[in-house]
Amino acid sequence: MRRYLIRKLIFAIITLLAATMFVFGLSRMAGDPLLLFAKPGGYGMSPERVEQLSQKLGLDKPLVVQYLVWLGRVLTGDFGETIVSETSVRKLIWERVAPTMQLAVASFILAILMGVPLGVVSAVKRGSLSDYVSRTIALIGQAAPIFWVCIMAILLFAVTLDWLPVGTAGPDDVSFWTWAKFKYLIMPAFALGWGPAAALLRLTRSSMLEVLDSEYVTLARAKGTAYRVVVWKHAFRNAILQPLTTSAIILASFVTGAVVVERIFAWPGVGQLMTDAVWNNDFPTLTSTVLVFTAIFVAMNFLADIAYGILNPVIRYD
Amino acid sequence: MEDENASISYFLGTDALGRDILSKIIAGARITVLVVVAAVGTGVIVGTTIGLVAGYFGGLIDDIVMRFVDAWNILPGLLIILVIVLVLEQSLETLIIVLAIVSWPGAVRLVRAETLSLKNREYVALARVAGASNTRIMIRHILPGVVNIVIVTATLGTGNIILLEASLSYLGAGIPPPEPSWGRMISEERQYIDAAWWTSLFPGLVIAMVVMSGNFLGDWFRDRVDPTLRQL
Repeated sequence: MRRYLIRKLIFAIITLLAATMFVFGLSRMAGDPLLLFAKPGGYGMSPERVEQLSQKLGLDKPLVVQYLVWLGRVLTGDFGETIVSETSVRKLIWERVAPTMQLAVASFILAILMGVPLGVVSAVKRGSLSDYVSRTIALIGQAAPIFWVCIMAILLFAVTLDWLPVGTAGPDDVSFWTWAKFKYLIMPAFALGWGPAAALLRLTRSSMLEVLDSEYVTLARAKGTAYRVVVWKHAFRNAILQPLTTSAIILASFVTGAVVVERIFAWPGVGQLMTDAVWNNDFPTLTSTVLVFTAIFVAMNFLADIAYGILNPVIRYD
Repeated sequence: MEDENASISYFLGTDALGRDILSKIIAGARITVLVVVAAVGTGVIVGTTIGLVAGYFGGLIDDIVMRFVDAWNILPGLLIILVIVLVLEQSLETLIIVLAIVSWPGAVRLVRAETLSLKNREYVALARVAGASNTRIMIRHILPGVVNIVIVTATLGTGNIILLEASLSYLGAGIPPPEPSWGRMISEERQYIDAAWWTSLFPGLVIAMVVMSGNFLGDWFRDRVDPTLRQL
């Protein structure tokens, strides 16, 4: 187990490094950042000024050197300055981490609380009313485009009914644990959490059905074990493996979803910072934000690997 | 030049430029199907093959493949596509390739996980004792066991790709104009939402219904190919 963990940890670090290279390369392919300041022959930027700027930003050095310099600075916590406003990227990201975390954690809890129990119930009571209701919730959640759900939610709850506010993460001077602030979170969290909840529900249901059909479950029933015990102790423990390995992928969908949700609800999170950076060709901000999400995701993946190793000793890692 | 609600001549109303929404939806269907079938087909075939090989042989191959998949998975797909589309020229071919690239790792992960648990089963060991080659074991004994998960994956994949394409079109990086696109319809009409709700409602409903139909098809197919379920 210890060797397995160390191996996973080393791989997680290598993965992170590979991801930084990929992100850095992609952001450079997106275009020469200097062109933002100085279009050739335009805007009265003299060649001297261009040279000065490219020296300041380190753009005159080879790409590998640029990467290593960037990586070294990132590792010490220095994300550089944005191209657009020349403010510290670290400060910019730091301001926006909390809203994104609130949104992600709320959606993840929502997804698990909705997905797993409903999935088990709908597998156990296959063909019943609760099965159909659960599956309808899952079907709509997986089929409806997230931006459309957001717009329809705004149309229904904010425009027509006027129940919930929309537009920001709420007033700044109010504590998170108050209704005044919390009501801003409801719509975005549901919009973001519905899809993942549906995915979890489907997976839990499908693997639960498979396990319930296996012989040891029949045997356990034949022995006279109570049905509730069979479902939760015998079947559920095996059935949860498949959804568990997928939970990492589900977390990835939060990153994609958060970008859209944060845009529509004007939620002041990292996702919004990211899309802004893409459109502005602002590579220090872009690479840093992607890196922050990547680091979080690698950590989540590592946790999933640990859980997988503990829960399923049958699968041998050597 | 204004939004018009549903009428006999325009079943689903018209958009801000007076264009019939139903006609735009129908025209958008053709292009969506083309993009999605091409992208998902490529992604699932590549992903299943790689997942099967990685899971079966394990060791170094498995490590290399899975690290690659991990590295790919941790990158936010939507953002990567946005950047790639901005770098390359926005075209249908680019979109299809990019969607396929984004969709294959999901299949790898699930197929590999399933293969890992199947390859230690006794019937596989017996097949090996009987002299079956690795290729034969993979294709004849393990592939049928993972078909189930592949179908579920492909179904979910189809839906996800349609949704991803719609999100891209919504953000302005999907199907390039002048081809009609469901996602772009919603994005273009978003500003008129409180005056003309139907311009956003119907294209979204169509996307949802198409994705849902794909999921139903997958469920049905799953019940058909899985004899153990049919016995229930």
